[in-house]
Amino acid sequence: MTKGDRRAAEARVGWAFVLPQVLGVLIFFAVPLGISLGLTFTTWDLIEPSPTFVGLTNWQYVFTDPRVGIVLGNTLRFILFGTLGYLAVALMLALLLNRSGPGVRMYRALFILPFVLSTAGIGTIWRWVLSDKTGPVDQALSAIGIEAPKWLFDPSWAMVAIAVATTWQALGFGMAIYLAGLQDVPPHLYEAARLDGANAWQRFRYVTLPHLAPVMLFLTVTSVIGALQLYDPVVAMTADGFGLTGSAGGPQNSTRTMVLYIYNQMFQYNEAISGMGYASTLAWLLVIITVGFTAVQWALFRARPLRRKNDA
Amino acid sequence: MYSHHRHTAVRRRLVGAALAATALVLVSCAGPVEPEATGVVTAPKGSLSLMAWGSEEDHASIQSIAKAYEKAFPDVKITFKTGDCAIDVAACKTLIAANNMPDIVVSHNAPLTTEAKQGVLENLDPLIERDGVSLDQFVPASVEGVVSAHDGGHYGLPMGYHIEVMYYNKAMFDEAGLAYPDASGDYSYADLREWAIALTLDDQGKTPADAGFDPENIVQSGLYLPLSASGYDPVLLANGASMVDLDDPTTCTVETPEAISSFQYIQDLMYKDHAAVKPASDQALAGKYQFAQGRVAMLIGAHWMTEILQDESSTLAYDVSALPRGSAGNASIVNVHSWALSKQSRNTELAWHFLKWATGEGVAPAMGLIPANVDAIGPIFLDAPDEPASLQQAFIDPASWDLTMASPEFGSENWIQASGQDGLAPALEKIFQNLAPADEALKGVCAVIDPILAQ
Repeated sequence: MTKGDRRAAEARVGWAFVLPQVLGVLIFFAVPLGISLGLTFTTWDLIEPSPTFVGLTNWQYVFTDPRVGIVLGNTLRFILFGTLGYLAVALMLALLLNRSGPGVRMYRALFILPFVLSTAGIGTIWRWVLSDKTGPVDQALSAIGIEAPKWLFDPSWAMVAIAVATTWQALGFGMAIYLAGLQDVPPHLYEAARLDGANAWQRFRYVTLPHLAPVMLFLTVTSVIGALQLYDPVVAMTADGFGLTGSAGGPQNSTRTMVLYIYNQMFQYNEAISGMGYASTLAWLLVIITVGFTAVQWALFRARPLRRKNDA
Repeated sequence: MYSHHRHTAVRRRLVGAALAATALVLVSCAGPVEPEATGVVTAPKGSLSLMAWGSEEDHASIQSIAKAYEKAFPDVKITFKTGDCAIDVAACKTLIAANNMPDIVVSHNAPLTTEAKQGVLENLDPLIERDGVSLDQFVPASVEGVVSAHDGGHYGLPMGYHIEVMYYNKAMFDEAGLAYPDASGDYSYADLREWAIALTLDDQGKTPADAGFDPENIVQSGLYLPLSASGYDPVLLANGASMVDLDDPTTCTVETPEAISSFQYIQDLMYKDHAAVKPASDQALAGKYQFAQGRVAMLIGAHWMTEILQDESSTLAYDVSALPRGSAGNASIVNVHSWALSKQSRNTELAWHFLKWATGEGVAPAMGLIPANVDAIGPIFLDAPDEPASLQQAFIDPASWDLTMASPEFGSENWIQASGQDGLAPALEKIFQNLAPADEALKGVCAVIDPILAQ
């Protein structure tokens, strides 16, 4: 057997090993993505036997549909209130619990607990927690003389309320990831910083933060993607008492997100444009926005001095 | 020798299997039923799939009917599935796209017109006419609930219905020195308002009519009126209004003076009189449970309230009455559940046989409803144990009122969108949150809704 034959045989074995993964990616990701991209050039209500080709109609309409701007604006507000708050609070929590001592593990477990609960259930719980006057939050604020807003009934506060609920749920996950990053920081760097006279803030700023940068990038990217996909908590917290999805997104359209609007157009609306085709177009617009957000975050990460010097 | 016999035996088995398979295919292709020349099934045979939504108790009642059918017709096998088709069009669409639609679905009048127009449900008129099925056997209001507004066709046979009535706490009426509401609805919305005020108490025992009443510390509410079609439609209809034109559900009529005054009445009950449960309180604990716990004196609801009280083994002393009259008369709303055929069914004749049986000789208690079959109302509903005293006057008689109907807005294929955030919802939120009076909140709403209804 020549060297070339051996290489060819090794290559065949290698392909045999990676083929299941390649096929999996093709069948479960590439093909569905391709189909959904193709559907953006069609209209289909799922009841007709097959889609009808409409060319660029859906793509032209998506840039003139006034509701797209509203739902993207709502999602942006959620990112501002929810995602940034979540990243900051999870970091503070991780710093607090990055120590050994009695009860620390129990606290960590308690904070992670909501992460394993269903999002719809969390939404229902928070609907009660934030209920007007009788809810625990309102009662606590009232006890210290603060009049609580009408959370889910006030267009200015409804998205904040949803952000609070989702942050509460995801906090444990963020904390766990930050903790993993914190425990990766070599202790001798803190000792060296102390010897150099660095105070607590300086040690955090110049030792901890640079080491946490990759973790922060991961959490920022994943939480922004999650924010762009926001759906379940909105329905659970804003749909009417009968849980009808069509009524969700209020008050006054203030919590309607892109995914909720995709659902509206996919299943509930009978506009000339409605159906699988336009819903797929909206979904692809969301993909483009998500990729854009992620690219910006990568670029910021690479440009900023937060990262360690030896990070490429 | 042995080998030859074995091969022969194997060949025979294979031939036998092939013949059996061929026979099976032929039977399948021939259809699962044996219709006569007229199409009427005489010897039901084959398999059916049946889907129902609702609670576990609802599923159990539907399964029980399916089992009774299988017992009556042993050559039929019914596969029961749970799912939201046909209460939710989205669920139907995904089933259709996956070629997985059941033969029979339990439908509801809310999405019926949408499902009929979009080709989810089968128009039963040709079958009704062919087999001479009399719709007179059903409560007329329940038959209205299976008619699609887009073509006037019948898209289901009525299973049963809920009708909105008033539940009231007798002890609270006694305590306030009030006479009980007339069971047949011989009282007005003004009376209802007066009672609601008299039955509302703050933590000092004061009513909204008393000086020093504290609306922030209400411990007993006079009335719970659901802020949905079931709650406001009866008020609108009794006062000569409706969300859409009764003859043309694609035309919005929510800006008429009668509609505006009806919504103002509801807003005033909550925020001026402080006599009705507000949305915030309903959010903290649903009004039906507030009533069950003795914190609300009167509740507008349907027979599900009795089931809640029974489930909780409540000792509440309560009764029911028909809804009050308004300027146009007494009115109520029915929510109709029906047996419907999927348009995608490949077993239409057998499924139709099931529908006729389930609404006729096989009629049985289902989903806690009042049976739509007139002859079954007595044995199934009126004679049931642990029911309030005024069943006939509150639940049965109002179904024949001129102004009792299925919510007229559901006659529009596009009501889900029209009632959502693109249409009516922001205006109703303003009314129900007391952000604007009804005339201001509803101003211009029809200009937004009409194009949605008309599309």
